[in-house]
Amino acid sequence: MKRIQTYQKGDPEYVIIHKQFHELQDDERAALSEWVQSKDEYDRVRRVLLELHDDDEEWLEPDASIKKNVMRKFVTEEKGGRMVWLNSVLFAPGASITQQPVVRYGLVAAGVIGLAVFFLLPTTPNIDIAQQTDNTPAKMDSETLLANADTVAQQDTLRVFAEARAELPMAPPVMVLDELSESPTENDVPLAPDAGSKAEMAPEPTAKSDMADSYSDLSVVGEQTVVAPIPQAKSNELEKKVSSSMASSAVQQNKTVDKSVSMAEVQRLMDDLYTAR
Amino acid sequence: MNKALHLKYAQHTDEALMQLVKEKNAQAFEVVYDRYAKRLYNYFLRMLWKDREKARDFTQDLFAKIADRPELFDPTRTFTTWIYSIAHNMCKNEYAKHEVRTRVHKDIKSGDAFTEYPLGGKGMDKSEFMQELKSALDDMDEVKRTTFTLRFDQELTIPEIAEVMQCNEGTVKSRIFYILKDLSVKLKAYEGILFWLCSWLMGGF
Repeated sequence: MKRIQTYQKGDPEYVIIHKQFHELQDDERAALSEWVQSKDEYDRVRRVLLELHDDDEEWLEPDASIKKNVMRKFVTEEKGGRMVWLNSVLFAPGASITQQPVVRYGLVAAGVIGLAVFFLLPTTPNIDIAQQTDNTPAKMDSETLLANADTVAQQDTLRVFAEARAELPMAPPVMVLDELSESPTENDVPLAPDAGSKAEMAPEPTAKSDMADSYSDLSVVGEQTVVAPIPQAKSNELEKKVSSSMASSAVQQNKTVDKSVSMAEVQRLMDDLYTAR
Repeated sequence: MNKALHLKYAQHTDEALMQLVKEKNAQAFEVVYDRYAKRLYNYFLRMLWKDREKARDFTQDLFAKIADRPELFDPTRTFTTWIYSIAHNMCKNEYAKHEVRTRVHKDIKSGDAFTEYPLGGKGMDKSEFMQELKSALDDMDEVKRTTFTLRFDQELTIPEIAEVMQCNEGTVKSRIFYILKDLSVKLKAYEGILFWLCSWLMGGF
């Protein structure tokens, strides 16, 4: 233990090592009296201390592998620390939200993207979709057609047709089941009724609408197509044509009705009626 | 490590080096290791029944902890007391784990303590004295052994020991004197037996 002894002047060991019993001052004896009562005891303690002081036993060297292992671990931790350092680049500690680098980077990136969109995207013609929708045949009401008619004969024809359409009932949509789908629930209305249940299938009209609007009720719910049935109209001719046509269609066979086919079919019937008139 | 860099860091205090270690400076960590590894290895060796494997593992674990969490170092404390506090707590945990084993160890040691005295002239020579002294140290309880090791082996100051062992300085001083007195009594008995034996062999009495 022959290393740098750290005994200081205030330490009791310092006095014991440096002085024999008879050399002690009164205040030193008083200070040591708590632990050493006699000269004999003092001498024994002193000898032990001197032996400890003069011990020349060397410390053992730790294994070199320890250093290698801990340095490797430290370097591994250091690599992990660099990730933290990158985080600190984006998130400055103690800075407010507006001063955070990540917010500022985000604002710059948003500005660049905005400018790119403004300058690089091709300009498209400004189409008024709402207007385009209103010009569809389905939305053209009978008054407009009547006003645009050229001749009196045409006006008469259109008036009769408008009256016939006005009396078309707005029936609730009827669900058409797919062949593969499950049986209808109790809330579903059967589509292919027999003659006796026809009245039940087509209840009394509740609202007036034109023919096109009734077709606009077509909608698709999942795999099922919902179609507004065409009830008995005032015009016998229209009724016959509609009935015969629909009877041959998939609706009468309890099959899925293709929306585009039904629309085309009805449009054709309307054209025929118009021509006949 | 670069020798110039090592010399540069060698002039830093432990606390300044730890600040660099917190900033992931490998060279600073290496200097800290070089300063304390040998001391702590021998401390563990003394405290853990001279078990070299244990001392090796404990030294490695201690520095691995520092490498892992250098930010745990409290800059208001001295590094020496901090690192010895960790080492001391590691030893206490080890004692708790192997309490039974420690007792057995102590029993064996106390049984052997005065049966292997070397024969000598006027008492004993220095190496024999130290051998006996260390044997007597091994018989001490954990607190005395720690105090003795920190004071006379690791050469910590009394305030530092007080901080490591979490007691006041007066307690440390008392412990040191009780240890010295215990040792002197045992060594006196040892010398007395030897003196009696030698005198008897030489035809005395």
